[in-house]
Amino acid sequence: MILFTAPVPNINQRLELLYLLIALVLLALALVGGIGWIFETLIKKYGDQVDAETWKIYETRTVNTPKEFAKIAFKKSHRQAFKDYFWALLTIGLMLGILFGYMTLMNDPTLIADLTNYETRGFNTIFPIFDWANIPTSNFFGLNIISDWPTLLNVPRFVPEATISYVIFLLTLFGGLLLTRATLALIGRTLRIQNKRNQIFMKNLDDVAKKL
Amino acid sequence: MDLLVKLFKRIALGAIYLVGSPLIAFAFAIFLTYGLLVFIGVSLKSIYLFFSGRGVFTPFPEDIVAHKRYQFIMKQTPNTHKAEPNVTPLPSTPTGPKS
Repeated sequence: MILFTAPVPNINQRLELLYLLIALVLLALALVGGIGWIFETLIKKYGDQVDAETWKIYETRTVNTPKEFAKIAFKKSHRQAFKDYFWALLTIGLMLGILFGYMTLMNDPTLIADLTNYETRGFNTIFPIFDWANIPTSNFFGLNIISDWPTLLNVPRFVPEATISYVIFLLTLFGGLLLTRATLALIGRTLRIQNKRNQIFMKNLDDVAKKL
Repeated sequence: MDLLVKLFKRIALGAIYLVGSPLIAFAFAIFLTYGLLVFIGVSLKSIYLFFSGRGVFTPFPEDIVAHKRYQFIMKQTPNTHKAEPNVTPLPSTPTGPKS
């Protein structure tokens, strides 16, 4: 609020604000980098499933060409993907079953419209809701940037009528996480197979030289 | 110093991810579609196998061959780590031969 009441900021204040803005941007970038690193690590971890499933086939020379290796590795990967997606889709199916079952049995067709409502019986009643659309802004160096917190529209509270919305929200969240996990695992396995299919059958003279 | 280098690497990585986020989201959507198609394909195959009287998640032929070969290799390889005592108890004496 000081920013609104104060007269035109002097050069030092402007510089401080600029440094603060730069620091915030760098912090946001570091956060995005951290999230990306987590996803990258997960993909690598899930890719290791291929090693556990195919090492015996390779070690015993049951397959002798990259094509044969990729064929059996993809078959195993698809079988694993089926198992992963099965649980994810079962959770989402359960959520839809509960939603439409409740609406039919209780004769309550407006529930689907109220699911995200924070004023009546949506799951948003347990979250703080800010008025991001009307966030206070000020003009700095010709740029219209955020200068204060937005107004709080909803104080988190438990509403007993919204219990069904909470259950549906939790099931959706869990189903979404399982679906993301299944997709990341599929990406990891596919990349691992594509990377290793040629490498493991490669005749490398450096390795021969090490043995001599 | 190492921490600072790591932090700058993380910031650079964050910038790359931010710029490439539409491409990453597109690739994720492609893999999600591929995964769902795989799910439908494996489901249909499993139903066909089940109703034709065959096993659904039985080991692959390559797995069976690999397992047999692996067992053969393990038998051929001498176990030099631990010498197991070669004592076979007599059928009439459950506690084994008395010395």
